[in-house]
Formats: sequence, C-alpha cells, structure tokens
Amino acid sequence: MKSKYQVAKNVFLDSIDISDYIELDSSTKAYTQLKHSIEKPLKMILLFGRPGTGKSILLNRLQDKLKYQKEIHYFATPAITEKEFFRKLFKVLTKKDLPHSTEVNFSALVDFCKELRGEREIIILLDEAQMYSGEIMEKIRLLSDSRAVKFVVALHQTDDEELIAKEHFQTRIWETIELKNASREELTVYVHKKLLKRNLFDIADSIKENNMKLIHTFTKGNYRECNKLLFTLFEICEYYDENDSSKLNESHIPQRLIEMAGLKLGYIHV
Amino acid sequence: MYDIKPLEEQWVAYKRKQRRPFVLGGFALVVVMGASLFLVDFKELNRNLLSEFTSQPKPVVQADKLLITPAFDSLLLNEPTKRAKVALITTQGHNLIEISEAPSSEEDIELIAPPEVPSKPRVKIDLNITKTESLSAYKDVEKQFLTAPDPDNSLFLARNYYRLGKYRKAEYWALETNKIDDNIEESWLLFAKAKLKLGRREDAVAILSSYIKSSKSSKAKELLDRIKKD
Repeated sequence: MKSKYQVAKNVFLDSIDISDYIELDSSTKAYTQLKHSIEKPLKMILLFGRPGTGKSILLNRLQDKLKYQKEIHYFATPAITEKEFFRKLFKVLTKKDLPHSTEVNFSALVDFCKELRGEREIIILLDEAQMYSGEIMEKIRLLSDSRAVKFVVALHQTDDEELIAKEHFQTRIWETIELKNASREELTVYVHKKLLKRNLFDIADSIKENNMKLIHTFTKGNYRECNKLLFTLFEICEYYDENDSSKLNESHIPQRLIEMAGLKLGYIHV
Repeated sequence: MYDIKPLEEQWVAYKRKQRRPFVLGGFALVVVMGASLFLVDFKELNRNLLSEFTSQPKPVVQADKLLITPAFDSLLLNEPTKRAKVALITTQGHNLIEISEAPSSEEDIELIAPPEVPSKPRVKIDLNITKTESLSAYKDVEKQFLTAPDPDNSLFLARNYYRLGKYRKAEYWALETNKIDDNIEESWLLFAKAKLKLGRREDAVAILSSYIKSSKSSKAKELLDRIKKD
C-alpha cells in the first residue's frame, strides 16, 4: 500500500496535465482574457511571464476547452529547424502530411493562407516561442498577416525575449497577457486544492499558515518552484514515515522539513 | 530518499548559522550594557573623587593650625632656646610649618612634602623637597606681601621669624600685621614677645596692657602676668 506522503509527492510532479489544472482567481482571469482575445480579429496575442507562472498549462487548457469549437493547435516544443516547423504547420493547414523529400514553399503557403480567409480561422498556440529563430518569427508574422491564421505566442519574460517581441511583433501584437507569480494566499489555495483533488484531506490540513509562509518565501509564489519544493518535502516525509515516524507530526508539517527541502533544492544554504 | 542523513546535518548547520547573528547580537548587547554600566560607575567614582578633592583645602588649614599650636605652647612654656629642626611643608604655593624641635639656625630649615593622599588621584601637587641654605621661602612670602598685603602672610612671617629667633624681623612683621588688622590676637602676642626677647620688657608690657584693654584677651593677660612675675 502506498504511503499517503508518496501519493502527495506525486501530486506535485511537474507536468502539464490538464486534469491537474487548478482554478485560481488569477488563472481564471488570464484564461478569460485569453479566450476573449481569441474571439477578437487580432493577428497575434502575446502571453508572457516568468518561467513557472503557468503559461503552458493555460495554453493547454485553452486548447482543451476550445478544441471542439475552433481549429486550435498547440505547438508544445519549438521545431529545431525551419523545415521541421513548416512541415508541422503544413499538416495543420492542409491536414495532410508533407511528402518525403519535399519542402514547403513559403510564398505558396502564404497564398494558401490568404485563400483560407473567411473560410477557416486557425489558431496556433506557440509555446516556448523565445526558442524560435528570428527568421521563423518573421515568417510567422507574415503568415499572421493573412488573417486566416492567428498566433498566440507564449514567451518567457526576460530582457532578450522582450526584445524579440519588440522587434518582430510590436506592431502586430494587439493584446498582451501577463502571468505573474502567486501571492501567498493564492499559493495556499493552489496547494490545498491540489491535495484535496486527490482526497488528501489530512495532509492538506497539516499544511498550516506558517508552513505556507515559508513555502512562499522560498518559491516566491512560482508554481513550478512550489511543485518542486512540495515534491521534495513529501519525499522527506515519506522517508521518515517509513524509517523514523517520531520526526513527523500528523497534525502539522514541521518547519524543519520544509527547511530541509529548501536546503536540498538550494533555496537556502549553509 | 537516500541522502537524508547529509540533509539533516546540513539543516543543523543551517540553524546554527541562522542563530549566529542573534547570539552575536545578544553578546554585543551584553557587552554594550556592561560597558555603559561601567562608564556610569566610573563617572560617579570620578565625581566623588572630584568632590573630595574640592573639599581638600580644609584639612590643609587644619594642619596649619595644629602645626602652629605647639610653637606657642613651647613659647608659653618659656623654652624658646631649645634647639629644634624646622621643616617647611610647601603645597600649591602655601607654606606650612611643622616644628619638631626648636630651631637653632636657618640651616636647620628643611622643606618637606605633605604626606600623599592615595585616595585623591586627581590631585597633582608639585613638591620640591630641598634643604634651604637661606630663607628664600620667607623672602618669597615677603615679596608676595609687598605685592598684595595680606595679614595671613605677614603673620606667617612674624610667627616663623620668632621661632627662628629672628626677633627683630618677628617684631616687624607682627607690626605689619597689626597695621592691616589690629584684632589678631596672635599678632599682638608675637609683637609683645618679640619686644621682650629684644630686651624691651616695658614696651612688651605696654603693648599687652593696651591690647588687653581693647580686647580683653585672656592669653594676653596670662602672658602679661608671666612677664610681670619674671
């Protein structure tokens, strides 16, 4: 039988599983804003935020929710080469695979998209867009001008990425959505909801306000960092549960264990 | 979880590091408080010492009186010829006199320092202990008197010249004292005794009789009676 801490640990595995999506005030707001932006006749929408603020899961949720209503496609990982990217795009647009030993004629692709205007509205969700080359981004911009293809570009918020956004999309991006780290209250709701979703009521109750204060201090409200920290925390709890249960307290998580997890992950140092 | 032991050790080290500023802060606070208390005590101690120092002149004056009295006693006992060694005590420009024996000559005068008072570290007294060949100390007082006539100085000179057997000088300085203040009993007695030593017995009797009329001094009466008996 699995230890409850083992179950809790797996709750916080870092994955983009839409079933793990947690409704929070800020994420609901961002989702609604993104959905409305897609409805508008905009060429490109920029979704940006620090790594771990929930951009990918938001794009996944959007695709999951709208997949039966719209032609919406999620490009999770950027294509390594331009050829690879257009092969994927060709399949989305024509619903056919590109024959072997052939390449996409970009001019012909733009003309094809122009012909689709008014007939189809294709939404492409580009995750990790900061990894695309400037040349690909320029071609994406030209395709968006056809108005048949709409791009939602998710970028990590760094100085360089903002520069990319400025250079290639400044005039075409009509809507910008920013995702931020969670407040302490939001992070508490996030952690509790995640645990309650798996019926881990005891563990959810054992995480007290002072625990969350420390967790928020370590992770600065970043969801990915929070997942990492709680995974490590419950891994430590799992060890003590099996080997030295005197060091555990069923009613509340000892701060010491959170500090140990923080040490292991490098949030704090000796 | 295979690395729990090193992690526990790391945590212990981390907590130790976390507590260090508080421990150091607490220690610093104790040191500062200790130093403050010490400084307050030290200031209080200094204030006490200073107040003791400022009240210092009194005992010096008392010493002066005490040292003079034996001289008169020996005079009244009519033993002026007894040879004695005279020691002058100088402190802060004032001369104090101590007589252990009747003086024989000027060479027997010696300047000595008063005993040091260990409980008054702030008192800085320059003491010159010299055996005087001449009466330079008296001359300094004479100069001081000429600059600013003070009956204390003239009486001092009269008193000491009489002890030294310099009766003419004693007579002169006793008279100078009387000129400034004619109510000083000691000065009149010294004046009369100096006259007597100089062989002018009648003058001594007349001086004492005159002084007794104005002051009704018992000491003057006593001296007069003794002179008349002799």
